[in-house]
Amino acid sequence: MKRASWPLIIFIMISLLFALGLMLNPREVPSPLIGQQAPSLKGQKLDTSTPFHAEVLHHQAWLLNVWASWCTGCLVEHPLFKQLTQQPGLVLVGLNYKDEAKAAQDWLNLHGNPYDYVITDPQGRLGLDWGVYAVPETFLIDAQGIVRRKWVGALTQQQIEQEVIPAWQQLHIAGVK
Amino acid sequence: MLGELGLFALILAAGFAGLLSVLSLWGAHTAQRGLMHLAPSLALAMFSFAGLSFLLLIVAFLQDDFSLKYVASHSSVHMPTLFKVSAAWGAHEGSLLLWALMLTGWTLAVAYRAKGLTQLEHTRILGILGFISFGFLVFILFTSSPFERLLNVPEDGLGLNPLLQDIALIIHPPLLYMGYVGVAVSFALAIALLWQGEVRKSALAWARSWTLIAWVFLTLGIALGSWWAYYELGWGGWWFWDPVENASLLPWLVSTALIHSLLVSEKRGVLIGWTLLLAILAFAMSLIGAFLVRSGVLTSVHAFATDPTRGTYILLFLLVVIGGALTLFSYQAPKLVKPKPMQLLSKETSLLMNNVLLMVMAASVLLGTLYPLLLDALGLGKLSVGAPYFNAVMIPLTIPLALLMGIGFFLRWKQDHAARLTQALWPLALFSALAVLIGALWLMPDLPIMAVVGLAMTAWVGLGALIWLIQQRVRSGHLPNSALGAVLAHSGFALMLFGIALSSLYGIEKDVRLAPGESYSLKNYQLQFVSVSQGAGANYLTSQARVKLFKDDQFIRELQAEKRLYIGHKMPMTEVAIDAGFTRDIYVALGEPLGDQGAWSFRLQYKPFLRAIWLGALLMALGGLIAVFRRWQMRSKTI
Repeated sequence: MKRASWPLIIFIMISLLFALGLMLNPREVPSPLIGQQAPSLKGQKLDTSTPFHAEVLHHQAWLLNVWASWCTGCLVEHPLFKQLTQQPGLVLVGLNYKDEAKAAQDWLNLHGNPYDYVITDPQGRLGLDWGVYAVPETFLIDAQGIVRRKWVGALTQQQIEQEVIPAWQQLHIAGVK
Repeated sequence: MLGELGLFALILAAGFAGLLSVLSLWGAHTAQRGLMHLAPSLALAMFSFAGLSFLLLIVAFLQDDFSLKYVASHSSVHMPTLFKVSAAWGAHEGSLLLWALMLTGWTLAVAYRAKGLTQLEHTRILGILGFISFGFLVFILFTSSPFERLLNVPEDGLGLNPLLQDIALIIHPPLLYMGYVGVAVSFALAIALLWQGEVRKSALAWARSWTLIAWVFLTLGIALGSWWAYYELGWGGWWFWDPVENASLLPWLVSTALIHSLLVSEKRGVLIGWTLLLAILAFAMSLIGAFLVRSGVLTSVHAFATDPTRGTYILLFLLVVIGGALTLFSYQAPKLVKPKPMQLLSKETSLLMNNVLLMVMAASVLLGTLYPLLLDALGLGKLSVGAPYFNAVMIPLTIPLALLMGIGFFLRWKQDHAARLTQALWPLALFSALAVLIGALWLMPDLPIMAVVGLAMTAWVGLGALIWLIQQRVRSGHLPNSALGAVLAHSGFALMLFGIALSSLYGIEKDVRLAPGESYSLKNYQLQFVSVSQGAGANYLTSQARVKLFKDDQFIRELQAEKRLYIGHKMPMTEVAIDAGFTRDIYVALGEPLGDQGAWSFRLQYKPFLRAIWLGALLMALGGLIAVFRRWQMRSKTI
């Protein structure tokens, strides 16, 4: 008896993939960096092309946001960063990942610049050190230079209010003490 | 009280859907005429109660009944009445209810239009549609009821997402859902035919009209969504290859293939198995789309609020409906298919080739959409597949598609001859070459190779349809009845190719900083920034920029680009200003204030022939409609 089963087989494979997908959270990526010393962040500043080294941030907790002008998710989370910049003492560093300096500067001019520093990473070398999978990503680094948290994908209002800010505040207070 | 009534109506609708499914399928199985005659009345009852439920939801929105969680989350007293109504389908729960309502509506329409079907086929189709409706209604009841009450009733609701407070967004989801659900009809017929193990020509003819109607809705829905994204999102593009957009494109590609394959099966009695498979796949794509959008397995810019239990339910439903259908297909299809030889040079072969191209496109889009999920599932990391992949895949596939589309009308059924075909094609070749030459001279000196390719495809497809139409008119003295719609749809596709090619190759996008009084030039247009003023609307605060548009230093008009902050929402919304025209769009989006000198950032665009894309889609939809009406006319003449 002849069968025409190939569509069924392909369909079952796709369904299996879906079932696996349901068990995963696309926004949660385990990072081997968590609990580890943060990779060095040495690069050039976007606006002045002067060198920058993350050592200047020692002894305080800070946030690193990896973004690019070509990334739509960045555009989604971007307006929400105003809320971050309103936190007294919060340092937000932007890592401009695999982008052109001009496009990045235009993008910041258009949508506003919430960052205290913007470091360029045109080749994605720094991103590689930091294990960047997809843009945007946001890291929280404590006063001892240890990576504490990582968020993958565009941050939502809820995440910023309930995760990012509280987590930062906790480390910030610890760092000040 | 009304909320509970709405819920009760929904339960009754689900009950009637279950009855319709069980009684019809059982009646058809045991050949009990009494049960089979019940089906249309059950379909009517199912539709009426689903309609009542939806109506009561709208009433709850109009009455600002914030004791309903769904109303409180998506409406607010400040919202204009029109948006209160449309908020009913502005989020997951309500939109799903609308989806189910439309499915019951299609079922009702099928119940009273059985011409061309045997009673057995008709009853089985209704039973299957009843089953699908049942699945959706139960899904709503258990995971997504819009009638859930809140214990603490808030004073005011949260308001609808400002992005959705828009006229196009009132009509876009209903159109799209009509399309998504409409393909369920041809799916149900395919199952009924596989079940009985026999395929009759008139049943295929019946399916073709229904598929065409669903396709028209899909086309309009997608075009409207793309237009909305263009003027509302403030990013200036018209297609982003976002998973949600892809979810609408997939059923469109497959149902486009299905329409053409049905034509071949109806006319020549070949490709039956392929046609039935496409009918199953079109609905599978529509369900997979629903799964991807509503389960949260993929992140998207405009996904619904997601919930894994919903995803699990849709996946189970998908497994039962599509898995069941494909199992039936794998057993029954070989029995149905009587291999008939097809000649290489014939209309049916060229249609099959185009079908394959469309399916490869669909598979590529599906792959691009699922690839991030696949890598994630295999633990290989996360990434997003963007426009570069889709453009790299779709453009090379469109070229042979266009080539075959131009020839298609001129090819004969059964067996054609190369010599005859060359003779038939030379006017087309001549006029196309002429058109490309004129176009190239007009675009000189800036002439990338892709522009020539775009012009050539446009001319070949568009002129191919028009020249054939004129030849038919000259030869027979009247317009060909059956193919007028097809000619129109193909011309629409040509127009769309033209718009895509020119707007993407010759468009200019600039992000600039302008101080009051400063100008910026785009081609021979100048944009002068006048000032920004603050104001307030019904439920938002706004910064409004006045920008003067000049052409060759001649004042044309003043544009007003806005940035709005809606009450209760922290994300600012861009209201872009567009000076639209067929030959070009001038687009101004207001960015951020820069410094204290009154300077602002702007996104400025010049897009030639962008409108041709949506106009082309409209023409395609119109072609589809004409094809349906012509078929109905012809049918009523013959009977």
